[in-house]
Amino acid sequence: MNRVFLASILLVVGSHQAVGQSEDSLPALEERALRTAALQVAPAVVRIRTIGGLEQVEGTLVDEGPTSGLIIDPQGWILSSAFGFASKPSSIVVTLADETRLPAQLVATDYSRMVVLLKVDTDESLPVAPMAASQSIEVGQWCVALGRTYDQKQVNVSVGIVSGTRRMYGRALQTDAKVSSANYGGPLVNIFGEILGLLVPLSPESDSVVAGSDWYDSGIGFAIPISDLLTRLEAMKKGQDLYPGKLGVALEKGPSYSTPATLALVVPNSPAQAAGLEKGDLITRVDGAEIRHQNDLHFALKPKYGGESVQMTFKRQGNEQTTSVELAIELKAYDPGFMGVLPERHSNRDSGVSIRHVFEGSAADQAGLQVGDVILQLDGEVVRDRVSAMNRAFRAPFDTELELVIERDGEQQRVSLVLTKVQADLAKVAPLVRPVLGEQDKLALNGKKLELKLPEFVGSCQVYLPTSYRAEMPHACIIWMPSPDTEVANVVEAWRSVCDARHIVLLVPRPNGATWERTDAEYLAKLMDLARSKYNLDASRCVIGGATDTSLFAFLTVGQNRDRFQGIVAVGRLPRIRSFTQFASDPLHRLFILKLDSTKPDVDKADAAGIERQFTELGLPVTFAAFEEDASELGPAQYDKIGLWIDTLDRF
Amino acid sequence: MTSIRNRTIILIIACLWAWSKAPCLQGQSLARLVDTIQPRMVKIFGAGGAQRLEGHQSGFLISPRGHVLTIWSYVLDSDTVAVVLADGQRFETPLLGADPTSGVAVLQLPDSGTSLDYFDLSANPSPVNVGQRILAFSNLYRVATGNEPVSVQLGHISAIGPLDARRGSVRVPFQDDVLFVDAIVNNPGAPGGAVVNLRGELLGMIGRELRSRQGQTYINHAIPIESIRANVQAIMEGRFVATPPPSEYKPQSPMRLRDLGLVLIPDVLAKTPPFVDAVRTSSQAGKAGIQRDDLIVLLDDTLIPSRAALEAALGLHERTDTIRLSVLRDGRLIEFELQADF
Repeated sequence: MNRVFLASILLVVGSHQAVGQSEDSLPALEERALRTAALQVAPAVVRIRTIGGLEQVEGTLVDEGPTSGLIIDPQGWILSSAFGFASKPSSIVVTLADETRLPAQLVATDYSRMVVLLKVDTDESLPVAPMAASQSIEVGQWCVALGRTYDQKQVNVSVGIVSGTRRMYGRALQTDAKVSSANYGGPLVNIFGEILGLLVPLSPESDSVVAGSDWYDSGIGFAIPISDLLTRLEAMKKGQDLYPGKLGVALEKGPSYSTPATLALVVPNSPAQAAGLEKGDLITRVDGAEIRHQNDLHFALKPKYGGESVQMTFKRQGNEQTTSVELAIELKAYDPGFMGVLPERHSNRDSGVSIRHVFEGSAADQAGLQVGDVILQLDGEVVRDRVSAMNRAFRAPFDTELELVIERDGEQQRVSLVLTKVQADLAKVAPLVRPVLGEQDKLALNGKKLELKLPEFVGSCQVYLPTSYRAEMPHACIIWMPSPDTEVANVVEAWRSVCDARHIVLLVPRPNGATWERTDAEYLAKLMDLARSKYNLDASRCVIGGATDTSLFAFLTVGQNRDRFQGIVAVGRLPRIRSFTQFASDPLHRLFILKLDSTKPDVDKADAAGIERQFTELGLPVTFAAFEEDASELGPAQYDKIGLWIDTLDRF
Repeated sequence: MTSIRNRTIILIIACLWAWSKAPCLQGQSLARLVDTIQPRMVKIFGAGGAQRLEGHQSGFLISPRGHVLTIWSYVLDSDTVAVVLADGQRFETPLLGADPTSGVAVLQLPDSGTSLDYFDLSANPSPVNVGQRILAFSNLYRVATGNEPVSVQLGHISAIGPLDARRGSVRVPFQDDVLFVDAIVNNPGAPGGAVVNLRGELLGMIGRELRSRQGQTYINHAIPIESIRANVQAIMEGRFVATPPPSEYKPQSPMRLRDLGLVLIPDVLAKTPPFVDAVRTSSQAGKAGIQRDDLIVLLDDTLIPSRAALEAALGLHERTDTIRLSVLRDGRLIEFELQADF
């Protein structure tokens, strides 16, 4: 008994050691387990070098170092991160764990998950690692991020935990292991040596291939769950690129967690329109899952691909309906048609609109329309006035045939024409005859300095009413944003003669802060509303523009307020458009762009051409005008050009 | 009865003691490990503190007589370098010596009379492995002042390999392998800190802030004690002779393209791809089977993005060397081992 007792004491005491981490301490056991897990997956991790391609992608220098990949199929299929291939390399060399080097082909790219599929030719079966069951993934569990970018012979390792699941709108796992270009394209594995996902950079702000790489080593990294990638592997093997699915709607402005998913806009020719959705519909379910607010809708749709169908349940006027929507790879801009006439702005007629100018070479010109003809009917509808004619004409897409009834010299005629694309080139437009209207108004405001002030904003706004201002006639309005160091008085002086000649009301606002900021967009929109309430402004010719960098804010303002502005004047660069829905051509909201360029050679011509092309693809007509080399300021010739362009904004 | 009760009590106490050593509770010994290391850490203040150049860094004691090991940097480039010990004592400390190649420096505290806690450099630590857990001690961001303990970070050894890095545009002369860690030690004030394993053994010293030449990313690394031990001991014993860092290696008779019998397409672009235009059939390259239109992609293990890069890489070889050239031909990668002809 004594011996047993003594033995048990010794056993209990002797089985533990003193201070410092013994081999059986928890940290030591974890360390061994995690290292073993990494070694188990290591044979499936490859090193990839790329050769050739672009040096810069979207303003960031391309990473020239190696990237990692994961063998997903023994026949030679390898997954990697799209980040490593953003430069569009001409050659790809894969080095396996056993140091065999093989050239690889890029077979397909998944632009939603930022993953690429490569293929190498191999006679031998390549090693693959086991995959973790997706239900087994738990937040808080250990995980290891692997890459093979430091040393060919060993995988590089970073240990962390799973921080979150279904991140980035349902697409990714989140980890606090250090994720960077050292392991993009490599696997994230659990402590059992099973693959959880593929490491990629992702960003909530941008969908580009390089987005998110600035969050490297930050404590927040992402991996696409491997089970998700396997479901689409067969499609990718066939060379099919996968794109995020697009619906073609804009939602109401408001915090996305509390605002219901009501449609503020349905893009013409979009999947939403094809499925019968309309502005004002409230989305309540997607594929049966409840949509409580806008964020739920993002979560439901973001993981979907172009070509996939979803069941959308929505409420319209109290009734709930369900429709099937097939998401698109890209949204096509609406291409409005163009006849080629400029209407009279003011007339005594009860109905119909008189033609003020016919554009040379246009459909109207070829159909024989003349100045003075009165358009009575458009496409079977009676024309009440200029605005209704414009709206009716703009809703007809280009390349369609339009029937008109016109009156000439007291007689009615039928005219038929085929609409062309909107004419943006105004080079051939001669200075137009300006309408002069009756007696000079005794209004004492003309030519005086006036101010507009909104009580809730700090900034002030100078108004210039042209000497030709008549209260009965709708005037074009331009908000011209000067650079912060320009004197407002100088701006008004520069514009004066054009405003007088072309009947343009000028607004020169000052920013609320030291410089223009994003928050000023609301201010500018409200300014326009206030101006329209005070003066007779033409609802079809409200323009905003600015010199040099203020142009960017003009675009920002218009993007959020398409219903208030119909024209943007940009001096110099056009910005890259990030929101298709905000800027796409819309039959209900016309938008024209005037771009003023210095004739100095533009260093970045390829980039500039790309940006201009995006506007054409959006269906927005861009008119170009040049100003003299070395002129940093616009001169009278340019203001004249702007004035002419503004005068033609109600053309249809 | 009493003896049974006594034995039972002793057995229970033994079990409780054993339970206290159970793995889940031994997590507390990490705290005990930290307590052993902290007295050896010092905070260093010196030149700098203006225009984003930090005027502080970290260091640790390596002898009972007050030798401090730290990074050799502009911070030490001051008449007055102050070292603050873990208990808050502050000393003006002259530089004893420095090794420009490895970038380490040794300071010596004035004799305080008391014996100080230190890392024993002569001890042989267990081998370092990728995936091994480490603790990094440093005064990053100057969070600790006076007698406050320095900061501790948990991490792992990510990789062991050469430091292919740049500081500004100057290539770092340190040629040996370094320890890459996933603790974020690339931070102001951290260089000179200590990296230890879970046994409390010193593995390395946190290196200066650096950025990778390839990845444009910041590197978290530590200089292995193994690499600097001998020189540091020589500095401490006063017998170290600093040698200038090795300059760019220049071979006596560098290899050129024509030595191999290769003619590439003319170098007209900023990055002309190294396509083979002609091969001298009598040369080794010709006999080995390199053909016109082959694209050279690798020289040994170096990626060759352009003709200029190939010429530069060849120029680092002696004419007598054997090299491995990998080419891309019709989607296949073919490797050749070649020597120059004479």
